[in-house]
Amino acid sequence: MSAPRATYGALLLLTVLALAGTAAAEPVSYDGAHDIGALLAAADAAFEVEQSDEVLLLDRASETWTADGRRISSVHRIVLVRTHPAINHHADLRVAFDAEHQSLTVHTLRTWRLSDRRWISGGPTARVETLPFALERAVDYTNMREMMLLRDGVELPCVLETAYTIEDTVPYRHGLDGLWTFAREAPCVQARFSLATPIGSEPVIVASPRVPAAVVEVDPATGLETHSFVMGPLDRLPEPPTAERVAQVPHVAWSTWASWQALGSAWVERFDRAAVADEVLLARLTERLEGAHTGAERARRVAALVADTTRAVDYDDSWWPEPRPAARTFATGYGHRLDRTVLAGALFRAAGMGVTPIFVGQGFGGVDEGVPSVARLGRLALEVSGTEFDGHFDAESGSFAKGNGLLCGRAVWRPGTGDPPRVETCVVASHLKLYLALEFRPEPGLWQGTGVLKATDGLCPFGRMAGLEDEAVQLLGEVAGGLLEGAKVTGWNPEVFQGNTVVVGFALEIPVGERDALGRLRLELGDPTTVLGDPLGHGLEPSRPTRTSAVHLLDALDIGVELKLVHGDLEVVYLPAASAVKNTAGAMTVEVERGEGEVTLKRSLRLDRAHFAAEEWPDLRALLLADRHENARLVLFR
Amino acid sequence: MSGLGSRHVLALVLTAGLGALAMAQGPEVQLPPGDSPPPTAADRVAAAGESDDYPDYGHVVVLDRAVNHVDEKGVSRVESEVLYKTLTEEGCRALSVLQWGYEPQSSAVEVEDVTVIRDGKTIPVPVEAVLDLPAAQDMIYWGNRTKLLQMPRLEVGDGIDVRSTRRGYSYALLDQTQSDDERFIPPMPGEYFDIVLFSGPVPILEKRYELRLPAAKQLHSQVYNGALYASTSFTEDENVYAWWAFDLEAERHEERQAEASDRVTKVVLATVESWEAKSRWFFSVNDGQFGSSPEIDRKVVDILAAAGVADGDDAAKAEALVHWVAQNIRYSGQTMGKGEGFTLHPGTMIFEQRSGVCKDIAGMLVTMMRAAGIATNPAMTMAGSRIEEVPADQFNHCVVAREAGDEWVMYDPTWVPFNNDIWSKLETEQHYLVGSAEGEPLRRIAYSPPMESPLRIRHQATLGVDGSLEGTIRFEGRGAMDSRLRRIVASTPIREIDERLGTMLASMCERVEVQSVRHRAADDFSGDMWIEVAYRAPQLALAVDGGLELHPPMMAVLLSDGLLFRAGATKWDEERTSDVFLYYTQLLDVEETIRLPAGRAATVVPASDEVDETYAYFKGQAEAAAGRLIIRTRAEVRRRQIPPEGYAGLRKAVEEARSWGRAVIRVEGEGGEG
Repeated sequence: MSAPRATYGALLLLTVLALAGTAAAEPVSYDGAHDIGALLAAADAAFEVEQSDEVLLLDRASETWTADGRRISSVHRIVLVRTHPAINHHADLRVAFDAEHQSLTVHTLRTWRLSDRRWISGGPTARVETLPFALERAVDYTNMREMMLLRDGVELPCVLETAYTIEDTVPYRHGLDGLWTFAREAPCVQARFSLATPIGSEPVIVASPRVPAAVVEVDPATGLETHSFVMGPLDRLPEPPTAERVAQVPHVAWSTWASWQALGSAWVERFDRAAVADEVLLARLTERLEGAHTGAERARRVAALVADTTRAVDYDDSWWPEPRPAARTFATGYGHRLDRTVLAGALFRAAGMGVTPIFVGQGFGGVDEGVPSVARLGRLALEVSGTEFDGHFDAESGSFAKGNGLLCGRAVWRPGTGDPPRVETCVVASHLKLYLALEFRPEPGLWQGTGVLKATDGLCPFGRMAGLEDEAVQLLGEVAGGLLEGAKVTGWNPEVFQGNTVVVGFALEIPVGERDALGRLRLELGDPTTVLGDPLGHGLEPSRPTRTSAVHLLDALDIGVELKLVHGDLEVVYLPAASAVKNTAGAMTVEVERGEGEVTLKRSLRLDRAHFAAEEWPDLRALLLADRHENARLVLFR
Repeated sequence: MSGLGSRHVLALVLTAGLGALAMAQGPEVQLPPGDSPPPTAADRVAAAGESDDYPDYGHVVVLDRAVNHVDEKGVSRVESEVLYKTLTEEGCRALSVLQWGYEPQSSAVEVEDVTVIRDGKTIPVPVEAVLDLPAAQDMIYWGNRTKLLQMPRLEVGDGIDVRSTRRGYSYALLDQTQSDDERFIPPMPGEYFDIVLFSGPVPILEKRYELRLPAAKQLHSQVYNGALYASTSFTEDENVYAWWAFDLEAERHEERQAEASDRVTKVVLATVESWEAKSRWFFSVNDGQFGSSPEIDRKVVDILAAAGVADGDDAAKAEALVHWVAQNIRYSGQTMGKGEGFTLHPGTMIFEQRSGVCKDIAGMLVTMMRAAGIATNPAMTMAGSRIEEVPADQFNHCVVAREAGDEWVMYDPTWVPFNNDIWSKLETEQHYLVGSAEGEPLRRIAYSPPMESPLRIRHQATLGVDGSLEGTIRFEGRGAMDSRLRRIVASTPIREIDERLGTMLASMCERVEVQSVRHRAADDFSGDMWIEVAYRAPQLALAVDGGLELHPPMMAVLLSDGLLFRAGATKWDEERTSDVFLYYTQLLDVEETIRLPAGRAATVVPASDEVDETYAYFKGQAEAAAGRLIIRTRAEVRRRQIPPEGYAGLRKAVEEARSWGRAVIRVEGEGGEG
């Protein structure tokens, strides 16, 4: 990029010069512990500051677990802000805290302005207590607040300093665990993390490779033992963002829980205590289950009862260590993920089904580092089982799906079993094969024929097809429609219909559409997996030439389409050419067979493994782009 | 819908106000045959219909009735009753918590009575359980509050009858130490205004609004966007005005809609004499806020010197100052206590804080322009909506007016960050009112034709024999399109700018490789914005039947990016009932010159139909030239707000643009071979 940002470069130089000249005396952090001029100079030495919107000069966090079971969290952050996008990120802060159980103390909220070289502190109107938007119609959760910390005096470039402490005013937690990543969205000069626990309490602390050893200090006066970690300078987090990227960067996982067993038992005890159906719930359940003849149908009705009667509240439920009783969630008409899961658990159990709460990893791959912590286990769900079925309930959508395809490739923790989280492995590799044989019908202008879908493991749509209404036809229509726009499935029959494997035949028809300006009929082939969680879709951003974050897929994948077109008198104008791209990531092939009045196109994409390092992205990208290239997806007839 | 006719009869039996309900509670009277007693809330709920009558809604408002008592000082006390009926579980969820918002320094709300009506019986809900909490806030942090009431578990078919009283004003802040009623006195003491919309997110079966004014007060009022029943009466002390309607449909959501106040039936009313009086008031309450300080004076000198206009005329100085304020006073509003909401914060305060809402940002500019010796006043406008003739306070935005002889030149520092205009082209045709000692009439910003907001794209490229396309695309924007292009740069982190442009071009070809990106600095206002991208798109053209085929390359980009072509990138429904509101007009002028491989020529050079409608225009044309292919595309969006009767024309132009995006251009060897 050329000159446009040059003015910022000049301003930064001014910044460093201005600060360097006074580095010994000013400015320093509010607590006198950090020389900001020296941090700026270090930033300039370590990073291409001109190419950064912001640089974290200091990112410090401390966690204290007191002897009486209270948490004290402190944050101290000093940021060099250079551009308007950076102002948007750092100037005004929204700090969540539990006003019923915690206090928030702001130590400093100020701006070092380069233009007149002085600190401007936020006044009393710069701290505004607000209710979180997500909770503004959720009375039982209004103990939560978001304190707005509003910055005064911002003028580019400038240095923003923020420090605050959130302290439990009463013990109300059962334990504490967490994860600290040293890298952030911006380059960071110095990142510091400390964990203080009562002497002799033996927290579990595991640092990832490359994290320097902790400095351990014991303070008999406070009765605390503190483990402190310091790193820097650090590059920004890998991009694009992924749920798994935390594993790529230096981090510390920690927990006051002695083991997964201890964490899980306590959690399950709270869950079970809350997941009890009262008479009102039982009456509603009985009414809802009337006329349901199969176990799965009963499970779907239970899920629908939760979804129909309670509004999903999208807010981090870890703020509430204790779930509300199921009856209360039902009575209020809303619930966050934990509370809706509890309600569902109560109802499933009351309906005679087995229920196991599970935590599912945010991304793909393993999460267990030997630390009993749910920090990387983002999603709570229920495993539900009956005599004729098993499946999963998801509280966010309020839906029940048969099978375990949703878990494939993800870490799953079953609290109470004593086991750590384990990755749910797929059998071999997830397959999806779609075979279509279509014949051209000039009147009424249709491609008409049959298809076969074979799918396994992570690409198996069993959970979405199973049901007593038109679920299968709808799903097959979406899969076929993903490949050929406008496809309509008119009938189907299963060969194999199991949780991990589906083989079904179906009939379909597709309108031929209008001829183009050259009098040709176009068939543009899409992607049949789009409706199955879009495993190769936008999330991977194939147009991105480089990336620094690793790619984690749900599984090794093998996706194939075989399309036989009996075109009769239509002249073939364009067919993809046979081709093959093979590399370290897998293979993408196109095969073409031409016969009398018919053509067969076979397109196959095989990705040999589920995980690809960032350096392997070019090979993976080459396969994805080859697969999505119009020249492998277009058929023209005249 | 069942039962509506009978509901009408029931409703019409009621004359005005809450008195009728009181009558219903008196001794039983023998009614003549055919007459019905006034309906109770339970009667209304029973007659309100079921979910089959309103298949798209979880609940309905059975009755929304408000009686507004305004006293001599202009203090308002609104007694209201809202009666809901749940139709589905969704409705029960939606009404599980009731909410009332208020601004504690200018208004108060009391929840008087809440009952659930189930199977004809009433179940009282204890209003002592109402919680009074800080409200959720974003961008504007004035300490607003919210009251919440958890309802008992609702059942389908329940009625919920809610009675509350609201006192005060929508935005007056007077000293907290004053007596309770005094803090509710509106900013123009003794004057009252209101804008009452007769619509909502769910159907309303009956809505009544009654205004009781002291007999000495006069009222302007008018009904817009439809018809209402109305009555006027008086007592010895009061004039009583009422408006009501039945069976109001819910607001219907459509893409790119105008604000509700432009669409739904409403009453606009005001006691203030005229716009001129409003102008004088606005001037008088704010004129003390613009005092400068030595720091501000020095900054003004520095800004003018840096822009090279220290000796320039007022227009040049004002332009330098509006850009400085727009770039340096960010939108984030803290409260200043007394006067908040209608008084501009002092310039000295905002200069220190470097943040505020529109009125504070405008106040900063007035302060600086006056410090530079430029005659400047604050002004009010309604961003994104129409202002009706009734001089009610229909403003949502504050701006700046520079006196230039007999005219005012308008500046909007809030809407021109990263915008080369002094007044955003997204605010044309807007009404505004300048505050002045003499009093000003309501004025309107002129219409801005598409040529004032052009996006010119010049695409120079070379087509390789393998179908690869390599070249440079230069985007140039002026007016609204200048701001759109600047936004692309200004909102993108530095390191992501190549990727941002790559993503934009990926809709043309996913394999695109961005080789370089150049652009004017987003905060360089010395000229119109431009962005230039050099790229390579491997195998963009497809080898078909001995030739190469491609579509007009830029159309894929334009039709998928709302910043570049808002009308084209919007998914439009077939039918339209409300105005389309696009904020700005636009001219799209694209010329793509593609050099062809030696010995090749464009043999299929399509042209689109020319669509020339009242509100929109489109034409695409490919042309074969010596060794080159030239593709010209022109589109115009001719009004920022398009009525439903103009929708078909707009859609026709957009559909033609989409069709043009799919047009096939074919390149072959001179002899017809590839």
